[in-house]
Amino acid sequence: MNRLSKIIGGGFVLFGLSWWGLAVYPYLSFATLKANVDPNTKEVAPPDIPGAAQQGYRVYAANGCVTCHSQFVRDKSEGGDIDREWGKRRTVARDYMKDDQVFLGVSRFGPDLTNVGVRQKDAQWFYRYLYDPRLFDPETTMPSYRWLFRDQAIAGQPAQNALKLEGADAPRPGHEIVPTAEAEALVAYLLSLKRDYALPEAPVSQQ
Amino acid sequence: MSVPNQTADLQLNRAAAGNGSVLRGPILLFFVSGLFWLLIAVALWLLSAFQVTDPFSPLVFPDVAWLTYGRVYPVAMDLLVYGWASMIGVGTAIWILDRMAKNPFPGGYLPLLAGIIWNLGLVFGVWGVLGGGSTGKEWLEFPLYAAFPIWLAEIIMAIWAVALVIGRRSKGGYISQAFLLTAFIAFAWAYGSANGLLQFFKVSGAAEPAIQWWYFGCLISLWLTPLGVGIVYHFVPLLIGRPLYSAKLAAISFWGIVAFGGWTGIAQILGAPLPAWNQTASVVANVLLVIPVLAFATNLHLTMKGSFDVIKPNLALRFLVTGGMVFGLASIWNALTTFRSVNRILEFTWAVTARTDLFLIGFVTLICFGAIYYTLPRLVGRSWKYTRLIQWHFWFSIIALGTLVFDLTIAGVLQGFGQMDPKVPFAAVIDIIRPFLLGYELAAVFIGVSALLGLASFLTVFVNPAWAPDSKEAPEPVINEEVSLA
Repeated sequence: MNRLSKIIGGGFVLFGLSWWGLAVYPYLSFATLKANVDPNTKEVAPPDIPGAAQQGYRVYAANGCVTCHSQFVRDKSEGGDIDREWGKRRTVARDYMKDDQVFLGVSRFGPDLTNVGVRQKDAQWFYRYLYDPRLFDPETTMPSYRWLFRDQAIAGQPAQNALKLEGADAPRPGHEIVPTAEAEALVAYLLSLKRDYALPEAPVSQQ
Repeated sequence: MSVPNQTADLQLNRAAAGNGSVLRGPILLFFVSGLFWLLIAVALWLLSAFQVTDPFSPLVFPDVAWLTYGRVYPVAMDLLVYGWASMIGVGTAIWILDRMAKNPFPGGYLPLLAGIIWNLGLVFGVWGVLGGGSTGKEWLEFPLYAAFPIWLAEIIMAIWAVALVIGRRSKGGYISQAFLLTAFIAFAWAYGSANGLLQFFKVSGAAEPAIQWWYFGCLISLWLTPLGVGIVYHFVPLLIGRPLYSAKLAAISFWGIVAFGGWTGIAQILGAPLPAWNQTASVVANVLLVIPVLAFATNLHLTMKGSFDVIKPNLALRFLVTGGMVFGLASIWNALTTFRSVNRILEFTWAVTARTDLFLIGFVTLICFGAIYYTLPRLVGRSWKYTRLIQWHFWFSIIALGTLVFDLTIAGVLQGFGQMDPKVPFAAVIDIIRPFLLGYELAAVFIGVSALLGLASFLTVFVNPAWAPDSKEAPEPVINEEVSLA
């Protein structure tokens, strides 16, 4: 009995330490983070997340994008991310303070997406990429996400966000491929991935 | 440092293990469900491996939302952990704890209830993630309505285990009791608090990955590890009829794993926006964890010394000892690849996947099968008929493990060096590892075959010869020297 309570008690203390150190401590220390306001330009960093993008987290999570795509840039001393131009500086906790959901990821079978909204600003590009990644790289390992799009008959004018598709992907005559609400939310989220503002704790490396 | 001596475990000799208890049903439920989930997991894994190579092949359902790679692969991994490894681990733990407690009222309905609820949770989880309800957090993909039942079942099992050990009739305690109780309590805490904080209280911001990867460390080092180590510590001495070599080494392995295990997870995302001391502590913990694991492996080796010739004929022992030794290797490899100088190259590559697979397919899966081969005859009163089949199963498991881990590790190293060089375009990095993706497919096929062989030998239970608990012959799968491969 005595030994047993010692084992359980000791285990609780030792285990509790890791819980406190790795889960509770970061939570408490990040809870006090405030956005950075540039004294000259009054620019707020990180900026607020656009409403349309807020819905995109769920789609990103549901389709397991995190299985292949990471969303953090390591310091120059930690890896080649900055050399590869996935970001001009490392990402810090403040970058994620306004995010409802954070998908850091541990795999880069696909490219890092921390700043994908900096690299591509065109929603149409994302729609076409999601619809058929082979349009951009015939050998790609990325699957297509056609169920995020809808084939509909053109009524009057073609829809503004209809996909510009040719060849095998082209819709039937009189029809068009348009993004569903889910695709719009996902792309709004991807477009919002821009960690290119300045933060004092993560200066842009000068080399 | 008070961990009880293992010697007394031997008093529960082979004959005492005949099982007419009310726990027979619950244990069988856990075993059968575990094997069922293994098959589903392996099938989905196989599909995902083919999807990785050619996502547009009509054979891999390219336009079916619920069979997309980002849903299939996570479900396969979750089932491997929460379905297969956990359920076999729990089933075996029930058997071991009951044997050791000698309690006449083992409360059999609690494990039965837990087994049913656990299975429901897994069904909801598969349904939820494939249906598009994934949380998008690795190893915690199950939505709340699936995670909660699993957690509830785990709580029931933890209460049952603690009550059983407290109310036990046997004197003293055993090292495997300490490991199994630790596993039950730690997992209930870790799984509950990770899901509670992330999904119920909806913690947001950079604290999310902190909680998520702290949990991953607990899942590996304080749930699957103590389950596996507890099983090995219990069965190996029983199988060779000799006590554990050293209680002191056992104590070191126990306290070391408990002290360092919870700190190991953050090393999976070094360089992430988390407190610097968290990351350093995690690297240190992964390195220090080698000490208790080597204490365990050394203890196992010294216990086996002089009995190594038994490994060849006795297949249950062969699975268990090989699993234990792979654990030692996996731990050393884990420590080496955690060092920042190595990690900066291998992070984000398939080598990291291989590191986890070595643990899951090497250590955990081999031990689960060893436990089944030992326990099942005693549960159902039948010994093994087709030992050749089990021998094939063993060798296919080893081939599958080797193919998978070597292939992905080499791919990961190439991928890592490719990523480090900014002059190599990203698509070219993927091109470099393309041949290895074919090797990955092959490895997935081997894993599927070894799972099928395991299932086939499990199913021979219907034709196996009867075995009486008081018989002088042990019911282990023991191969006749004349027909052995060597």
